[in-house]
Amino acid sequence: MKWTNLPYLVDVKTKMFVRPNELFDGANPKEYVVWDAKTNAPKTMKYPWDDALDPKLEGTFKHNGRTFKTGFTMLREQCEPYTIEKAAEICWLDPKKIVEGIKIFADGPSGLSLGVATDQFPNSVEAAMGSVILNSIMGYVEKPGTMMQRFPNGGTAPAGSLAPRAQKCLPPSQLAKRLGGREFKGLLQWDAASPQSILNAILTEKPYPLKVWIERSGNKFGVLGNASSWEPAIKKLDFVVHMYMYPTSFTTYADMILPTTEWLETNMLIDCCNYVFARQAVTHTYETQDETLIWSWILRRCGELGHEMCQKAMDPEFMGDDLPLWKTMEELLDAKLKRHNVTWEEVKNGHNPIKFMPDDKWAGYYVYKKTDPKTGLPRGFSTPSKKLELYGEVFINLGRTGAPYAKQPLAPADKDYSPLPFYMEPVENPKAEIAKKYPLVMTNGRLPIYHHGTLRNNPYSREVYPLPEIWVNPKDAEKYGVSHGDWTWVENDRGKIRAICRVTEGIPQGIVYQERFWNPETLNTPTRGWKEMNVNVLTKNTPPYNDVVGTYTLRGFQVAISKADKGPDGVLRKPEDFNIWMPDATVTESAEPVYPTYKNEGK
Amino acid sequence: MTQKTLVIDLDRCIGCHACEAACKLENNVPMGVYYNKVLTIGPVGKYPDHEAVFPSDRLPELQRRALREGLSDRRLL
Repeated sequence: MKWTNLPYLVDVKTKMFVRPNELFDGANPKEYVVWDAKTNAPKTMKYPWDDALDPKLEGTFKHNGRTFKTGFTMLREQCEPYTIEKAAEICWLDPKKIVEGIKIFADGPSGLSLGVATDQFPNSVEAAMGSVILNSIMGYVEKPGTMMQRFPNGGTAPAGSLAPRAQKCLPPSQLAKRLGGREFKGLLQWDAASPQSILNAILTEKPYPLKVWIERSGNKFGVLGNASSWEPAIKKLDFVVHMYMYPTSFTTYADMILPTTEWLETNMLIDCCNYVFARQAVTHTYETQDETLIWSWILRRCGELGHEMCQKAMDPEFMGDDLPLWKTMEELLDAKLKRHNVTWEEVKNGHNPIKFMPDDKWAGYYVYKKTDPKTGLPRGFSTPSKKLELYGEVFINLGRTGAPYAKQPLAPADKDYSPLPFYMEPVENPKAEIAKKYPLVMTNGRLPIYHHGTLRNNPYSREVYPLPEIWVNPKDAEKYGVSHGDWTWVENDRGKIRAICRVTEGIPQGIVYQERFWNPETLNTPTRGWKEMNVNVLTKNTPPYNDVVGTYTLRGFQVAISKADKGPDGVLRKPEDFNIWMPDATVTESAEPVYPTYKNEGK
Repeated sequence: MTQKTLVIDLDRCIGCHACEAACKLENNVPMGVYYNKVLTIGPVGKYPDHEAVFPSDRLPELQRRALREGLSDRRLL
């Protein structure tokens, strides 16, 4: 009650919070309004709480011709249709099991955490909103044993990246042009564009054509939804660069390859609890560079050739707190370690790891209750209201302006983002027309043997799990005429692939599972290694998209299966086949990379 | 000669096969030859009430048979 925005009044017409200045002359527009039971009237609620008031948590109120509801009532009305029975029907669960789960959660302390499963579906942001709401209304926030915590972090490699964000180097007019940046403003928090907007821009040349693709991830054809839709696009580009550790399907489309170091070959800072660890290179094979350097070198070269912003990015004065474009990894690592008053050299020579805070101070709970020395009031949360904003007015503002992620107001998205989570049935589902043709629901997700799209060229991993399996319930196996170990066709309107059938009780009837996969052994054939057994040939990258961040349907779509006479040509299955990838690399003498020299250093 | 023993809690093992791969790499074991092969037994039972274990093939045959025949008794092993 006291630490969420649920008692605050919402105008049902605008879905925005009522601000005191709308009701009372000269009142503070930054504060919020509650319905006071004592006076039966709206009153301004001062932060953090006013004990003189008796705010109603629930209710609908009429005031001067306007209708107000509390945030809690808005939330309750949103949830009301979803009874336990209804939820059980949607989720194919036993209602008794749901009740059992609720009791475990409610007994607490507990925490709901999301994996990537919901991210791989259009309903992604709403699932995250839902879990935050449930954790919060139970008070599982900054409490020992719960998951929503605010422990301090070493801050040397935010989101695993050493490179400075350097937002000032992106002119305001450029930000407005980011593909998908207007529709899916949630992406701005990661400075990301949306894949389907990029695909459309390449194919239609609208809002502008794209000419060059510099890729720094592994196999886009193994991991992008509806992979086949990208082939005409990549062939349309003028220049494609692949910056990676080893060749993948993507490399086969590239005009230039920039070989990068593996993680055992790189120096990196790792933030963990109250420590910063220096992860050091232990070997260096072949001629490769740390990709963080390659990006900086490309930009420095652009500056040399006259690019105005790249020139400015080399100027320490212009860059201020951000590191100007670096030439060596040491420069970058030292800049990141500045906040801990050490250099990379010192950390390597005996200060590894750095303990930046004592244990008892680090594990600080209830941060929101601590006094802010500036105001003398509790610190609260990092939101406009300093409360947990479970009624998400912030989402409406984000969709309309880009706040708080965009540096300047952007044009509004086509429709307002919902301030509360909602459920969306998958477009392709067993009750839909499409299920007559494709009766089974496909889901996917990773196995412990592989990590994302990597390790398919690792002999030890391939020996354990040589080729992707499709998991089929025994009843479905009988129905569709496939048996354990059979080559199986898996298809829908987007494509047709093969997999090895695994008949198992580990998957319920009506659902199949297949791990994403590509075949490095067939890179130099017409399939380029991604068309044989890649479940992402079947995934869906057409609408609906998530309103806020544009996620699409990588799980929960329809397929059909049937027996195949044989496997795809050239795919490897026997342990001895993988000898082609057994390690034979010669370790170079030095683990230190060689740096190029520059003609026009500085400005 | 030093004798070394592996103690594996099969109730915690998720079957990632990392021990199998690490053993092969460390001992330079060729493809198709195994010092420590992780087996998958199960899942047995009907969805969703089933269980699976991932014992090493170093586990004596008798115990493996016990596992195959009745998983719920594996704590007695």
